[in-house]
Order: sequence, then structure tokens, then C-alpha cells
Amino acid sequence: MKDTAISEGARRGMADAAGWQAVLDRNRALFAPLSDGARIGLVSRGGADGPVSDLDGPMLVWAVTRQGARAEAAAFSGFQEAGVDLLLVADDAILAGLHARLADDALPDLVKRINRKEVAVFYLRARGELDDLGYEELFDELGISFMGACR
Amino acid sequence: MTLPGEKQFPNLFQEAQFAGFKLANRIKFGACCVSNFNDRDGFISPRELARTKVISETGCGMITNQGAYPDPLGEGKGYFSQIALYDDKFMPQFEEIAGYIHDAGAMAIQQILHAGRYGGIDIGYCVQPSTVPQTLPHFRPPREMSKEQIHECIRQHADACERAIRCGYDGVEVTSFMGYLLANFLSSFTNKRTDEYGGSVRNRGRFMVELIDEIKQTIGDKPLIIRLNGAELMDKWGCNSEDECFEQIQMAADAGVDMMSITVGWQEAPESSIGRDVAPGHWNRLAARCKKMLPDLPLAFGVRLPDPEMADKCIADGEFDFWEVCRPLLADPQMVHKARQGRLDEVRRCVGSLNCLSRLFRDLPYTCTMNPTLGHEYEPEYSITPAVTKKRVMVVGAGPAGLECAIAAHKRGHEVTVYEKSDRVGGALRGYAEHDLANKDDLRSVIAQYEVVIARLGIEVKLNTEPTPKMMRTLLHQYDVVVLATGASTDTGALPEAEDGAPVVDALDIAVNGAEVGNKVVVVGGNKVGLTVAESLSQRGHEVIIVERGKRVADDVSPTWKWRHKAWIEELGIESVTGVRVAALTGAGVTVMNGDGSERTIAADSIVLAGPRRPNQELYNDFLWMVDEIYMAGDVHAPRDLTQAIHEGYRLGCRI
Ligand SMILES: Cc1cc2nc3c(=O)[nH]c(=O)nc-3n(C[C@H](O)[C@H](O)[C@H](O)COP(=O)(O)O)c2cc1C
Ligand code: SF4
Repeated sequence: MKDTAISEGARRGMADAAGWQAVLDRNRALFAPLSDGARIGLVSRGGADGPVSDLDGPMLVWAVTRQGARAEAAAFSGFQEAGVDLLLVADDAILAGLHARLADDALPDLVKRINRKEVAVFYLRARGELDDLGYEELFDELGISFMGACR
Repeated sequence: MTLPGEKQFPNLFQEAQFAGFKLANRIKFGACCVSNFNDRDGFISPRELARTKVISETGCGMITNQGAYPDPLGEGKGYFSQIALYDDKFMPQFEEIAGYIHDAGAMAIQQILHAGRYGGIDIGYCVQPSTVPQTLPHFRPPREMSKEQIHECIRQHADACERAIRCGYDGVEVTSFMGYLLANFLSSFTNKRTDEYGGSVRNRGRFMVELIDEIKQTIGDKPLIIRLNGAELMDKWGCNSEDECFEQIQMAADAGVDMMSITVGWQEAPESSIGRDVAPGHWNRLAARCKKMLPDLPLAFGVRLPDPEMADKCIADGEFDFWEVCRPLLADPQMVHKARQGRLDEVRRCVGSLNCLSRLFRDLPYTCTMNPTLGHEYEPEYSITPAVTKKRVMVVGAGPAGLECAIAAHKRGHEVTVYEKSDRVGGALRGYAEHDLANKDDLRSVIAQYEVVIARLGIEVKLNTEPTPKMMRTLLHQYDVVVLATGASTDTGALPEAEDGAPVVDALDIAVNGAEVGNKVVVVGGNKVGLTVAESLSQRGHEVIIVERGKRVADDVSPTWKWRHKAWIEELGIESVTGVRVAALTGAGVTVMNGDGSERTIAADSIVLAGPRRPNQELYNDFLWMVDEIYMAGDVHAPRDLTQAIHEGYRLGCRI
């Protein structure tokens, strides 16, 4: 997947750290169980049929610090180098939709799309490490622990 | 003598030739590799041997033994106690199983299973063609295989196959089900390699072709079966298209496999492949496509195809050659015999509950909703043995727990009478069956099977008869044992008393007795009962809101089914109000109190009470001094589910 395949709208959405910061501030409780150092990334796969395991381009990071979760713009150039614990992958249209909803809280919509598997979630750390970072409660809230295997 | 089923299903019970073997019929037991009954170090346990003996005697013409991982490091080990075949030290138990299968007159196949992306359970990482991370949190982080490791892995597969043949197996099988190593190489989702093992469809198929080649060279003229996906169901995330899957199926055929088995889906696939929400026969088209493409290659198929009648027709129509069955034979190991004898109506059908797989993924031994003896085959406590003292047994309640108990106790020689207050057997299960959005026939089949079996056994069922203390006094000394299987009901005492005029109706009244409700419905309780009724009402056009005290709905639903309810309520547009306490049930609706103490009223034409639930134990104390022995089975202990009801009823019937 080439960086250029990402639309301008999605790019703007991910670069809008201030807008996302407002969402994180509004959902402080959701991120409270996470330890200092926990990091979640959000990237685009381009179009709805763009591959999700072959990415590169801008990344929005939610970095948890002692002061709370901070939204930061970053770049993604591969799973190994991503430096995040979870990576959320959405298509451009979803990202644009989320961006348009930042003011009235995009998070419930994001959670819904994760549950519908319209947004892919990659786990870049082992389960034990994620638990140590306090992710268990977040998974519960996001409904991720419901997803199970083999349907 | 021709048995009725042989006439009814002439294709299924037709003898067949495969790789020089004569098979009694066209039924292949599909590998259920993983039971988690074995030792942690890969050795097959006595518990597994006992289960496998039962499997051997299922009457299938071909039996595939569970998949063994082939490498000493355990990179291929996907399950807590998966069996291993990387060393001769494991061979004695494999030999024993091959012996069981041959004693039963079947062809014995050993599956080799390297779990790839889902492997490495003991070592904290898994191996894959590329390092595409996991999309389910419980699997291990990936490491990319070097070319040397690929060659070594292929060699290990061939060695394990060679060992299987030395153990007496007639053939071997490798599997890509359900997203294991073979699938990881084949799929564009997990194979991002830039060398000759990645890139084009054919390059991604290279690992498979080399694997086939090496195994074929090692096992000589013994047959090799391969299980490949007809569809990965990962399309949303850029996996192989169906056409690409079929191109690789063709590659496997060209490489010389002796039989193809088509499977569907990956463990992490966003879509269902084998759950109850998939209609039986849904995937048959993939088999038909394969058969059309490869008419001369024997084809086994059976994904979510639980019905012998449908399987027989598929073979007649040339869609596949062998019916490959897994879960239906876990649910009822006698299914093939019953079908042959013309007793299909006595078969305990797999209801697609996925209890089996849910437990595997929790690292627990699997159990089956419909088969309480699965995994307990060598425990006398789970066998139907003649009762030493014949007793007169009164069973109160004709739901699954009561009927299981009645059937087992009757078979042991007890004189059993079932009392049921309604005019039908089935209990609350009837309500679930009629309101189940997935596939009503699955749960209905459980009740239908009970009706047939109790009639054939001649068990007396007194319908429309509710035992009371008064009635019991007239029956003193007529029964030695009372079994209470009276289920559970809504605990109205845990809710505020309904005010005059509050349009309150019990969920079970709707589910079982068809009580009517108004247009706007508030369902109190977001667990199994509440969700089932809410979904059904919503589907019938009612406007439904669920009110739940807990933080989430579906808390009592099994892990592999929670997502299904969540998806349904979202699809149906059912609002769920969680984390609130019901403060009042009034003529206007339900008043709820939020965590901060604020209140609001949700308007309703009908208020459906679905939770919390409480066990119906009232009769216990009443009867305690009126009978020699008194027991309880099923939800009357504590409200749970169908699995527990069946298992408890059966175990009690074996013990009385
Ligand atoms: C508990 C369980 C374990 C399984 N393990 C394996 C396995 O190790 N290898 C394999 O190829 N298929 C495995 N399967 C898949 C079955 O062989 C079969 O393809 C699948 O369950 C669909 O068929 P069914 O609807 O007849 O169950 C397993 C299925 C179950 C239920
Ligand atoms: S547990 Fe459920 S899905 Fe599994 S075999 Fe039994 S009835 Fe079928």
C-alpha cells in the first residue's frame, strides 16, 4: 500500500491532533486504566478494499502519559517500527467520518466500527504485556474481548 | 440384509474405493484435532484414547485422527494439550489409535497440523511467512520464517507423516483449517514475502507444493489428503479472493495430492463459517465448484452440513464424493449407525452452539452441549449401567434436564414418570427455539429428538400436571426418588413491585406461551433470555429498548456467541441502556436510575421482565419429607444454559 493512496481528507483527519485531543479528554475514564507508556495507533488503508496488512503513511497516536492520553501525529512505516501496542486500521471514508464527528465525540462510532470489524485491530504485543499495560478493561469497554475465535 | 438407511441414503452408504482401499461408505470423520484432553508434553492421554475409541466406532468408512504438531520446539503447537509426532517416543499411542480404527473396519488417516499464526502456545511467539501481527489478542506475536526454517519445517512435516505410516495409518493429511501455517503461506493477508515463497498466487503456493512433494516422496504410495480453504472469509481485510483459493487448490491437485478436503474461513475471520447463524448447506457451493474444477480428484466436504439427507443428495448431485463430518459426530457418535438403521429421528443433532471451540480457546478440555459423555468416555460415572436397585422415579419438569435424566434413568432400568405442568415437553428451550434468530431448526431438533426417544422408550409423561405438596401427599410411597427439573424464572422480587396498570409481562410467557405485547417494548434484563425475546420482538416489528443493570448486555452468553447478540441488536436498532437500576414499573413505562442518582422514565406499551433469573426451588423443601431421595437438575440449581441442563440431567440419571 502506497502512502499516496491515502486521501487528503483522511490525511487531514489524522493530522488533527488537537481535534482528537478533545475526544481523548472527553473519554478520560476510558484511558485511565492504561499505564504510562501505553500507545495506540490509527492508520489508513486507503480505499475500503485497500489491504490492511501492507501499510505505510501517516499515523495518529494516542500516547498515555501520567497526565493522561495525548494525541500526536506520527508516521507509520511498518508493524515492527510502529512503536504502538495496538494498531487500528480504517479506510479513508471511515476516517473522514470520524474526523467530521470529533466535536461531538467520535469514539462511540469508532468502537461500533471495531465491533463490526470495519476497523481492523492489530495487537503488536503479547497478551500478557498488554494486560500489564492495563488494556484488559479497555478491551472490555471496546467489546474486543467479545470477539472470540472460530465462528 | 439391507438396512432401511442404506436404502434411504444409497449414496452415503455406498462402498467406495480410495487409493486402493475399500471403504464401507462415503463418510469421513473430519479431524477434530484438538480436545485438550492430552498431556501438556504432546503425549496422548488415556482420556483421549477412550474418546478416540468411540470415534473409531462411529461407523465412518474413513477416520481422521486429530492433528499432531510436527516440530520439537512447539512452534506448530496451537492448543494447550495438542498431541505431537516429532519423535518416535510418541508412537505407541498413535499405533493404538490406528488399531482401534482398523478394528472398526475403517481406513485410518493421521493429520499433521502446524498451527502457524495460531501456534507457539508454550513459547510466546508464533511463526509465519511474514510478521503480520495478530488480530485476536490471545494469539502470540509473529516471527518471520527464514528459508532454512521453511525447509526444516517441510522436512519435519514429512518425518511426522512417515512416523504416522509406521504407526499403521493408511494415509496422512495436512490442513490449512482455520488459518494455520499452510493457510498463512497461501494467503495474501499473511504472506508479504518478497522471495520465491511470496508475491504471486503461485509463489504463495510454493510452500504447499514443496510440502506435498516432500511428503509424497517420503510416504511412497500411501495417500496424502490436503484440507484447503475454498474461502478465507477475510475479504474485508485483503486476503485471498475465492478465485485465488481455487487457483491454489488446482496447484495442490497438480502437485499430486490424492484427496482434497474443502474448508471455510479463518479463526479471526469477521464472518461466521460454522456457527448456528450459518444455514446448513450454506457452503456446499464451494465443494460443487471444486468438484467441477477437479472432477477426477476425490473430494471430501462437510462444513456446517449436519444432515445425512442433504449429504446423500450432494453426493448424488456430484457436489462431492465423501461427506466429511466432525461436530455432528461429537454431538452424537451413533449418528451414522442411527441413520443406517433408519433411526435418523433419534439423532442428537449438533446445534452449532460452539461450546466445543469456546472451551478450546480458553485452554480447557472441550465438551459438547449435546453429548454429556464426550471426554468422559472412560469414567464409569458417565456410563449407562444397569441399576442395582430398581427405583420408581418421579421427574418434575419436562425440559432438557428433566428429560435427559428420565431417559438415562429409564435406560438403567428405573421406572420413570415425568410430570409436566404445560401441555408440551421442551420447557424453556421451546421458547428459545421459537425466538432464536440464528436457526430455529437446530434447537427445535433437540425437542423433537426427545419426543421421539421418550415415546420409543415408553417413558410415561403426564402433561398438564403440576405436582404440588397436596398432590404429593396423595402419592406418598408411590415414588422412591423425586428429581426436580423445574427450571428458573424471572426474579420479580428483585425488581420494584409493578404499580397498578403497569403493562408487565414475563419474558417466558412471551417465549413459551406466545403472550402478546404492544408496539413499544422495554425489556428489563439484557442477558440471554432478554436478548432472545428482544431480538425476536424487534424482528417482528416492535420498537424495543433493553434495560440492563450490569455494565454490558450478554454477560451470561457463551464467549463465541456474545458478538452475535451484539451484532444482532445493532443490526435491529435495539437500544440498550446499561448500568442503570430499575426504580419503578409504572403505567407509563420503566423508570431507571443512573449511577449518579438521576432518574428518567422510558415509555413503554409493554414491559417485559426477563431478569434477573432465580431457580424454581420451592418444591424442594415441600417434598423433602415426603420421599426417600430428592435431587435437582438443570436451572433449578442455578440459572445457566442448555449445556448444563443436558449434562446435569444425564449425570443424575446415571447416578440414581
Ligand atoms: C473442536 C474442533 C476441533 C477441530 N480441529 C480441527 C483440526 O485440528 N484440524 C482440522 O483440519 N479441522 C479441525 N476442525 C474442523 C473440522 O474438521 C470441520 O472441518 C469443521 O468443524 C466443520 O465441519 P462440521 O460442521 O462437520 O463440524 C475442528 C473442529 C472442531 C469442532
Ligand atoms: S458443542 Fe455445540 S457446536 Fe460443538 S459439537 Fe456440540 S453441539 Fe455442535
